[in-house]
Amino acid sequence: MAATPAPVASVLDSAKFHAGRFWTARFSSFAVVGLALYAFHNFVTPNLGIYDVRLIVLAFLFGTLAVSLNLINGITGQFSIGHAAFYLIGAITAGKLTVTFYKTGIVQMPGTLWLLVMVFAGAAAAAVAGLIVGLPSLRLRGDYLAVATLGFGEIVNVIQRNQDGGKQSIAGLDLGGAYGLQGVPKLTEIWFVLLLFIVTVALTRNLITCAHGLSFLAVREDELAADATGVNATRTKVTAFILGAAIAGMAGALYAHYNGSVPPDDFKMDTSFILVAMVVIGGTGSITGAAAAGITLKLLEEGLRKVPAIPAIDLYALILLAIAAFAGYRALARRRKLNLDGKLRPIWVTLGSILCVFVVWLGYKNYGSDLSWVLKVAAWVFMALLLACILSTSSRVAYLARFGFFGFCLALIVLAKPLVAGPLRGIEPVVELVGQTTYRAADLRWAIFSLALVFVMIIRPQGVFGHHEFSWTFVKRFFAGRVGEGASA
Amino acid sequence: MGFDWEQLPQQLVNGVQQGAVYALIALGYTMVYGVLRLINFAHGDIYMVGAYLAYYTSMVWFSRDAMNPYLLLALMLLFAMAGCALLGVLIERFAYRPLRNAPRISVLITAVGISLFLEYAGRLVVQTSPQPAIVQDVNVWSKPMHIGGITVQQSQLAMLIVTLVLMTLLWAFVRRTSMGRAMRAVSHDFSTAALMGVNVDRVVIVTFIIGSGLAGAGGMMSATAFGTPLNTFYGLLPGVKAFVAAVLGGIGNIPGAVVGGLIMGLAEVLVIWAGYAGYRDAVAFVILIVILLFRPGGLFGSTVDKV
Amino acid sequence: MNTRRLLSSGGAAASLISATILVLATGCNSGGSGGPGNNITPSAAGRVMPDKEGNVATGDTIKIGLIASLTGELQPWGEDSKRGVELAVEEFNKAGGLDGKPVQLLVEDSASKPESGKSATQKLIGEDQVVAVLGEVSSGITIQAADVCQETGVPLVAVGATRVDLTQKGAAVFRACFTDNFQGAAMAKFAYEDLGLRNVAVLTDKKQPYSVGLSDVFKKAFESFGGKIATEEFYEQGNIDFKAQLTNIKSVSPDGLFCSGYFNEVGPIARQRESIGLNVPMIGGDGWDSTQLIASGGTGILGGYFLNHYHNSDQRQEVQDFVTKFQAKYKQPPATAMGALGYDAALIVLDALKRAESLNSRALMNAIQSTKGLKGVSGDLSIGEDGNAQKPAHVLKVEKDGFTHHKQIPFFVFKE
Repeated sequence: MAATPAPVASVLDSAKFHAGRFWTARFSSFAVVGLALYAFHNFVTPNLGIYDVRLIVLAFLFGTLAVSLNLINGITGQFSIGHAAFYLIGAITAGKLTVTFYKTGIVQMPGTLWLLVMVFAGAAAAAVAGLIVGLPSLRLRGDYLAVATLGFGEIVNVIQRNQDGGKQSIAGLDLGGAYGLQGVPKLTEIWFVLLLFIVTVALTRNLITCAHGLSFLAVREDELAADATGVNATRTKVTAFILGAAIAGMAGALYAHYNGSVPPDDFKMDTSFILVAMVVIGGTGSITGAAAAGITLKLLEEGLRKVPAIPAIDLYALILLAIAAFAGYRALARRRKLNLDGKLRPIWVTLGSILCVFVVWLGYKNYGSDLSWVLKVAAWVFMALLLACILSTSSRVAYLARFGFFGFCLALIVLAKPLVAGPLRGIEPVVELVGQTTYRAADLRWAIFSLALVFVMIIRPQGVFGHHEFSWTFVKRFFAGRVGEGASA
Repeated sequence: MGFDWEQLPQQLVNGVQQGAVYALIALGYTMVYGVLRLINFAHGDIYMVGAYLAYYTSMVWFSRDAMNPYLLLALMLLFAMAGCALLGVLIERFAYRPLRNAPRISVLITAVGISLFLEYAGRLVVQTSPQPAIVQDVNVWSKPMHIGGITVQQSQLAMLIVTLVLMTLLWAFVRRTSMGRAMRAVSHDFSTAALMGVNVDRVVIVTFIIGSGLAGAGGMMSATAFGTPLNTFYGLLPGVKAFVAAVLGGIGNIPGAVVGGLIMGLAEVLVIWAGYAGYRDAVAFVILIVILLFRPGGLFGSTVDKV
Repeated sequence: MNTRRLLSSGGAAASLISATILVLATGCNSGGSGGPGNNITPSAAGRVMPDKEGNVATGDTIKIGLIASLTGELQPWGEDSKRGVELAVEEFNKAGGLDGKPVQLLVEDSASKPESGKSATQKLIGEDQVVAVLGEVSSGITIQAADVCQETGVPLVAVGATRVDLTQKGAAVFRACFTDNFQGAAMAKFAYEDLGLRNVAVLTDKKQPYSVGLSDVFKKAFESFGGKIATEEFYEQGNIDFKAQLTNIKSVSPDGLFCSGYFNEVGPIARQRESIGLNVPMIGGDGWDSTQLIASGGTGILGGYFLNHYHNSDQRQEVQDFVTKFQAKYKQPPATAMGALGYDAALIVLDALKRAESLNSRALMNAIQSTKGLKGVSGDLSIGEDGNAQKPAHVLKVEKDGFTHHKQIPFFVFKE
């Protein structure tokens, strides 16, 4: 089991089980999902404030979007940076149809059923768009495809902006223009969003572990070889685009009916970039990674509201100290104080890991008290996962230890800050230039985020999870004490 | 809205003036891509930095009124080009060089990251001053010229001339000097050039200096000629459009970049003239997709790139 | 292996079965059947009351919320509005608060984006339990906040958002500034009667809902007065070159140019129109309000007229007092009209607090609706039936050293 890579192993396994067990397993899992969602809807949802609802809905929608983008970027190895366009197309189609047919009473049916129909309508429209974008991928590679998808995203935005029923719209089509489509009935409920997320993850997971899905992975690894072995690379790539787009369209439809309107500002280029960043940081090719990154980063966006503003001078002092710390780290590494034959010394691993958890906990203690309970739960889950990763002895922890070391330096820096900030305040030109400005966490968020993106690409281009998943086999192996190098399932 | 043929000549002139901006940025893009096969997404933001440097030079660091306007212009150009060249070198050294052997997708994402960083961190830095960042008219360029019923802005005409001059200089540099030959060698085949004794690192540095310097010059002239209030997203869209222009002309081809830029400007203006101003931004991308599908080598290029 | 099957399976088709079960089980008692169940339909007679009751002020302080763009493109306005609101609240508390109870102002950043504005509003209402919300400056963001407020029953007083449909959303939404309906019509009236223009060209920012709405009203009003719209051209926020559109406009020889966009583009438009020889008076709306306009417009913008809510040099006592107080607290006068409008929006809420029968959102809402004769910095803040403050507009002229007050246009209602 340890030797064969995961997808092949599962395909081999599939020959082993009986029809009876198969269907029992399948039905019981639906029942579990169904019951869980039903329970959630009846017991948890009524107790949620509107802000909590928003956090959950957005986090899981973005998790879904990240997984759908991962299907195109990570699993099939294409490069699409215009994903927000599919999200927008789904939202607009569903919204417009609802406003035209449902709201006016032309079609009479239960709200949730109509929403289901709209979700598929959104998926269909986005799928068509996915086809349009996917076809050129036959002739375009890498960078060019990326820019082409970016261009497509922009074109969709421009077209939507101009459809306001006025002079410049096509046949008087009114999609709300720059203001956005208004007045969409709010049919979405939380359980629907959760269901979509579960379906997406399950679908993608099953896709890559079954025989059909192997072709996606094959195209990613080596297109020429895949073609030579009989995989229709073209069809695979286009399928990936269509699927990824369709899922994004579904998410869009749900968003339109949650928000009550479709403001075009929510679907611009930045959204596409954020999604790419989520996939990249989480791990291209890893469903868990993409989903986790999607949910985490979205929650972080809101969580940062709480962090108090920091005076500019303090910030610059911190930056200077950080540069010094980084230089120190490099010097130590070069002198082999940190490594031993390429692996991080155990002492640093332990220390770094502990410090990592400590820093996160410190942050939670200081800023987390007034957080919405959703964010608190998320923070605890994050810390628990960190702890779980650390207690295993996989070499992946080495990276965690490095972050721990940085965390330690961060703590030191914060303590040492007054030492540098004091003299800085004394330098006249600096004070004049920057003076009284304070930066809020929200301002810094983007700057830090983009820097983190660059950092990740340089240090660990495959993202946090790489091609691996955080799966149950991993957990099982961990408990059995048999976690080896590159554990995957 | 019918076509107003009388206005066509003026609109053509407008288009060329608009295109000059794209042409200048495209020059830098095409150079970097030609040598490194890297779409430097941050290029548009370097253009933005050039504009800001021009602003700071003319409005903040030196006393405008006491200076000879020609001297001020020269200073602005100098600061913009030098500052941007330095920035380009720094970006290359810290962000692109570690990824020299990485898959292209990683480098592209890094470029996007740098672009976002320049925009948002830059916003943090410039947001501190409440004064709007506008480069006031430098007296030399403000009067428009009227030639037979058509109005030509002096500043934009100057920009076009400077673009053409720079293009010629660049072309001569690449064709005639040994460094230029080294650049062409690297653009043909990276590793073989290294094997032949070309100092690849130095070639890359020079490429970035020239490319970023050109972007800086573009930023400075654009800020001066148009006089719009600057913001850190000033370069995002022009950067991408300039990339399209470079592809249109044939990526890696120097005159092609300029021609591509001019065509882009013309196309946009003609769309507006036809009454569909709202679709103006889409024009660039439609051109991109059409070109990539039917003639990926661009108008002048071939699949074997020439720098 | 069973464990893995159980937990990792669940294909798409199968989950559809779950979905259908859930739909049938819960679809009947949630979401309702087809028809306009949960949307607000504006009615001619009155505005729709929200279903929910909103929040109750408990504890030692009365919490009100403010959403403002403290980051992003709208930061100058957002920052200004925040200062105005803070000044008003501080004054109120110094004067003893509400029978000794101070008002606590909670500020959330809407980051110049509708989505963030919505999150900010939901956080203030859901988490912080504010009884009223103030903000915002941009119509695109305010509509999202209005959506939340109408749904939860917490009153919203918009600071600078002028689109007409905002207060139509429901009875929980109010406004401290005038609407585009009034603004467009007032400017049309001024152009027709005072400037004697008959054939005006319109230049609209297609990317800004504010601009599109304002141009729309202006066109209708101007034509109803008897004027003609020569042509309408479009551009987008962020463009730097407008010569193509201006050339198109020049070819139809208008006698005036109406620019409904924001000052960032109007400045260069003014410069460029002068350079191509389109020498006609320029007029515009409150989007011009910024000292940047003079810097970027150069000589081209001088002599232009625009409508604003307020101006610093107004000799009325309230204005002078306000400017003095503002200067004392922040070391500079209000940079834009949003300072005054923020102050006035806060005044509306604070005044209503005094008159409300009890300290909850519904009572506060009713009190705000019945605001009459409240003298604000930007004018009379009586709230009309449609939820808007019925204030006059000030026509300002652009001069080399700043804006000068040209004329005041009293409030009137424009019916199409």
